[in-house]
Amino acid sequence: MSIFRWVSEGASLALAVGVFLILYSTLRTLVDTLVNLWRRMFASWTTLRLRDLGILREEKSRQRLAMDWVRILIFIAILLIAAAVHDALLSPLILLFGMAAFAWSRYQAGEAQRMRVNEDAELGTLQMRSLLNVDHSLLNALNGLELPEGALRNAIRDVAARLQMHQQPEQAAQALKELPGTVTARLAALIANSARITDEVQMDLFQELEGEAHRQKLIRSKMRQTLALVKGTIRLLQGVAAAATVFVLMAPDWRAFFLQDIPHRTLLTGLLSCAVLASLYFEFEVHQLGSGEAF
Amino acid sequence: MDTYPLMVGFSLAIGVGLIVNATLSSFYELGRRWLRLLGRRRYRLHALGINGQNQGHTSEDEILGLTRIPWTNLYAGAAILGLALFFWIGQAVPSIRLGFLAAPALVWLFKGYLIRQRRRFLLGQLRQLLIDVRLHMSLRGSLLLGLESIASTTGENQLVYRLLRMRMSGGQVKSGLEIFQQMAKDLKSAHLTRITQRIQAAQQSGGLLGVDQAVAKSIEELTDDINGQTEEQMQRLPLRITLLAMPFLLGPIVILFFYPLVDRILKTLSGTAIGGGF
Repeated sequence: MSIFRWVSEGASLALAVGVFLILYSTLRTLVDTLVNLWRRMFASWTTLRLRDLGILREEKSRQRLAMDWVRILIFIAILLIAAAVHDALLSPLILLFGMAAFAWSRYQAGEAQRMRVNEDAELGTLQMRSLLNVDHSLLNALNGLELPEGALRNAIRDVAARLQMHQQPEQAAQALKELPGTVTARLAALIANSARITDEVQMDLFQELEGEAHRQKLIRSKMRQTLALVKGTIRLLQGVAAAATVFVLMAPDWRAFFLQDIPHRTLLTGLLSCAVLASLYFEFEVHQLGSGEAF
Repeated sequence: MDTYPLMVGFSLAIGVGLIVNATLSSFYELGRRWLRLLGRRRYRLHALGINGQNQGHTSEDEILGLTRIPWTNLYAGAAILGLALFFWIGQAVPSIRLGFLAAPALVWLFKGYLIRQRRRFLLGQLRQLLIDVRLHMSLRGSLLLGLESIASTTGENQLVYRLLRMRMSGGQVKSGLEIFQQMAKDLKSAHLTRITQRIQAAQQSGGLLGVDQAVAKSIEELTDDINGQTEEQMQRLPLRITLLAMPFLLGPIVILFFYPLVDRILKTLSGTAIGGGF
């Protein structure tokens, strides 16, 4: 047996063992992911049943269902495009890119909701300081808040209802603790500890939060103005890229040219991947700079 | 034909790498369990905070929250995918076939990108933490209680807050300053080190300077820094993003549209294709 054969057989064996190990590990990760996914699905199913029974509120349910319909429509559109393309390489590729776009839209929807709650909390903080200045009662201030329809407004109603039932502020503020956002957490902390601090300290803290909320709003609006032009340019380029892709995949001459052999197929795959990855990168960049994390 | 030797060499590298990784991680797990069994007494003392020499040793991936991603699987998956592409497609595209073998480098680049992203807005996160510290210190009465309150109530998943939660868990903390020192060491942040020094100076000043004042001063300093950075970013952003977007988004569009046309014109001129489609 020659040395090369020894090395070759050793390499094959090592590769087989390595592939087996990695498959085992990947399968375990996959099973964990599937179990988590199932738990999430089961949780949302349970939530729907609880809403049917009237234990949870109706408004949230409608909102959720409306959002789900939009996502289902996007999902169907991706499937239809993949079927229309009918190619062994391109159809899975479109499904993959569609999944990435779907995941991104889901992430963005979650972040938008989170930002909305945070902005509502900023508004609530500003109003609470004004109301506490006039009437030194936390309950009256909470009842007097006028916030846009949404999760924070519902949570504030819950807190006021709990306080009215003579619950401790710490317990009452639990309704706010499930909500996301830094400002929401600060508002919850102020409400929870309202019994421990004097009115003067409370006013000082509200004043500080008000100042911070103003600063955040100012920088955020400046940043959004700056990003408006960039966003527009990127949306335009994304639209043209999507139209060009659909045209190339559907127009018989272009399709035949790019699918004629492996080098052309590789080029098409590379270009599509480049456009999609660049698109996702810029979306993320703009999203990150527009959110409050940067400042 | 150097495809097979390259293929064999790369297979050997992947296989050996995976086996070594699996074996070493098994040995590491086994060793850790044995040590835990043998050193139970020491661990009890450790839990009581008496022997705290190795306290707070955490890897960078753990600090940055990257341990949830199965990096070994990703590296190996990319390597196998690269190998498969090299073998099946490589012969058709000889000019870029060696590039397929560099597929694991993409995972490495992605990891680097994630690390940079996690550290990118550190100043803003530190500022938010300090605002929370001031608020919770006023509500709870001390730095340590304030930090405990933040760790237990915040729902934020940013790097600084996650690190704070990590450092507050386990009940081995002695003071708020110690938490800040550990965090500064973990993050290797000059700003956080300066904040820690300022708090330490305030604590040692014997009431001349309050911790609250020190934190307020640090917030002011960070605000100035962030304002400067934000202004700079706002000036540079449109140009930077637009210039980057042009080649990566416009480039593929131009190639997709015009490459077939150019190819057709060149072939017609050279006389290899006349009439018909592309």
